[in-house]
Amino acid sequence: MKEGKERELLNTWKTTMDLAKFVLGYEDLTSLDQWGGREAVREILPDEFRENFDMIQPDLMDTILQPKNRRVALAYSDSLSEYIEFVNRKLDERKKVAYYYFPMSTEIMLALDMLPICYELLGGISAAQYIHGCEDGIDRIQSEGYPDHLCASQKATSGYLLMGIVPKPDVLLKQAWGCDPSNRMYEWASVTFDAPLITFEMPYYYNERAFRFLVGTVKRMIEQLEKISGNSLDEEKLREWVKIGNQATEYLLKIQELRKEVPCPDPAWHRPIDTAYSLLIGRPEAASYFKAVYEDAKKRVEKGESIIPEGKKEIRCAWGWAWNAYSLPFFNWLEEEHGATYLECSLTYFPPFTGLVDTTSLDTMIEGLAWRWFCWPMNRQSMSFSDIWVNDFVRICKEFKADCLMLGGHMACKHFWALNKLLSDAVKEEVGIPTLRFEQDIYDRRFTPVSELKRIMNTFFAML
Amino acid sequence: MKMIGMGCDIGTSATKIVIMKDGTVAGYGVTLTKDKPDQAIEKFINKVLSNTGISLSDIKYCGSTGWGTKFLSLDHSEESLIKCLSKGAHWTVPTARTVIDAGGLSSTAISVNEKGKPMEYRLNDKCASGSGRFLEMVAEALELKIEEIGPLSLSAKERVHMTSQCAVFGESEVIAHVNAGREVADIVAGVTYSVGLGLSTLVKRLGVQRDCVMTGGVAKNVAVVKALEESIGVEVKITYFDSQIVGAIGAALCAQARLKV
Repeated sequence: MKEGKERELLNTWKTTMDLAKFVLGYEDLTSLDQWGGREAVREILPDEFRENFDMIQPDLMDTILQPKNRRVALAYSDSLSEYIEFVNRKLDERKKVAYYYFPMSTEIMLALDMLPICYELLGGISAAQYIHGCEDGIDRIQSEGYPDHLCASQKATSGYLLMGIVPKPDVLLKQAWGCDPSNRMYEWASVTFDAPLITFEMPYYYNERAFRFLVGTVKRMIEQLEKISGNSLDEEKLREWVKIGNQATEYLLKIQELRKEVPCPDPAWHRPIDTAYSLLIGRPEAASYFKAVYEDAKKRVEKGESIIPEGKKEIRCAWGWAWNAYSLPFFNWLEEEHGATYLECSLTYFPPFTGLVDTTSLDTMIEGLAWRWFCWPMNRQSMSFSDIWVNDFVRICKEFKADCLMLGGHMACKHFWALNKLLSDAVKEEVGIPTLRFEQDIYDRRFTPVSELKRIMNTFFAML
Repeated sequence: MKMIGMGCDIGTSATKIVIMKDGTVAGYGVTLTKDKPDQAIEKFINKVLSNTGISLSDIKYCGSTGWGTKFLSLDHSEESLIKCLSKGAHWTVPTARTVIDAGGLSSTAISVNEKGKPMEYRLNDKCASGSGRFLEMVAEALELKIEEIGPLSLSAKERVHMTSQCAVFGESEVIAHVNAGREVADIVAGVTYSVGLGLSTLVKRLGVQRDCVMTGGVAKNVAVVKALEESIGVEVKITYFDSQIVGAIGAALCAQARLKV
């Protein structure tokens, strides 16, 4: 990636999305090999796509070209293209750039006419698409002394900021709960780029009093954002964005229900992408992505179609921590090789009582958004005692009829590793299904290479 | 009709063959895994069969597990080692809930349910610190037979403290203790204690549940078993069959279960 251009990364993504749409336009192109190999596919590409094509993970290309994956791959490409166009428009208009931590949505920032960018999204999308993932960003921040043994969730974006290939922040928003690496990284970004950091406390308890406390902190966050943006929060504008956010949330919750079907109708590689689009809830792109995923899964249920190869027995997997973004094809491999479907994880699961935001008044909307953030995956599990995380996954394993629980987590995620045995024991005892514990990073493939992940999975599934 | 089957566990150090007849072990054999394993395994199978009076054509099912399964040319089903160890340990000790296997180059701790189904496991397959090979290296360095190490350890007056869990550094440390004039019994006691301790950390990560059963060649070392018991605080049961053949018994049981499906 060339240094010094704040739109370099997003424009590279845009080319990737255009390239994906171009390739998906060839209906009879269902894999690189079937077309005669990588070089043969390269031949049909317009010149402007070729450099980008060489950067893309070849097995990702094969994954999205599979008939079962094409519809959502197209929706993903369209939606991300539109989001990038929106970002570019807002940068042209010199709107204030608000970087936010992932367990929240965009409506308030949009209503204040700011440009919301999720800090964690930039590394995640790059990790998912390119052969070298987001390693350039990770290596850059590590060369500044950031420890290599910590989770990479924020590393890449911090590196990209130093490289100057993403927009600089005007403000940073961060929920303050016990994830030390992210807390420190946001502080670092605030100091380095001279942007105010608005932290809002997540309560430790999960009750009415705690929720009221959260509503108060969100209101204080709004006051600060109003000062920074120079705009007052307009009820009508907020309602407009909240309605769009509700559309996305409604589809997301319906998709979750569909994943309870046996066989699971929703391909595993969607889970990291679902997380990416949940971070954009409030934007129309999130609504259109989740609508496409929902319709894709619903059609499959209606037709009785399966996402795993014929003759394979489905192994229904719940993931107690998270996916990895660096190999979406790995999740496709799980389905194709082992018949292993991906039900939920702590980055995708919204409890059913999350519900929609009541748009009656400004107060109901602020409360509704605060409630959604209260329920947000990982916010919900990490802000409090272990019981929420443990109970959620016992319930998930029962309701989604899981055959096993995968507990792959980053060793530096102290919260997860402190409770993962409790979680494993509870699931074994109350649901009676086996569990697998292993280490991985979510963005950096060098931590646990795909070949090693596959070896771990082969051993585990052979045991099942 | 008599149901006769075979289980093979072809490990990096030892090859184990079990012949099962009507739900009992009719015969078994353990030998070192040799060069050209494909030919050696077949010869060894014939040798084990000849001791039982059963011919190869009588074998109705065969399950195989372990590193060397790929070298077995007979018709067989390939079975997961974790599943085989669980099934085999549960078959020999039905109350088993924790299985600790220490083989030639790897060690494994498995938690199993009341039916012998593996529920979780921890592997140490990249480090030889708790493995039989480490004990063999120490035996060679001290000019002892491997089977002498356990009893000799129990006769130690003052166990040496091993600072390293690594097999490579451990061997150097043993030599340093010899040069310092320490008693051989005290040295091997230190070694077996460190191996037992290493295994216990693997088990503790899973959680110790009674009954604990130890399998594999290292289970024959009484001092390692004692150290493991001390560290995890519960009795460690050793299977009444040769502890090395538990994986092969499990392989036979897994293959037999496939017949029933």
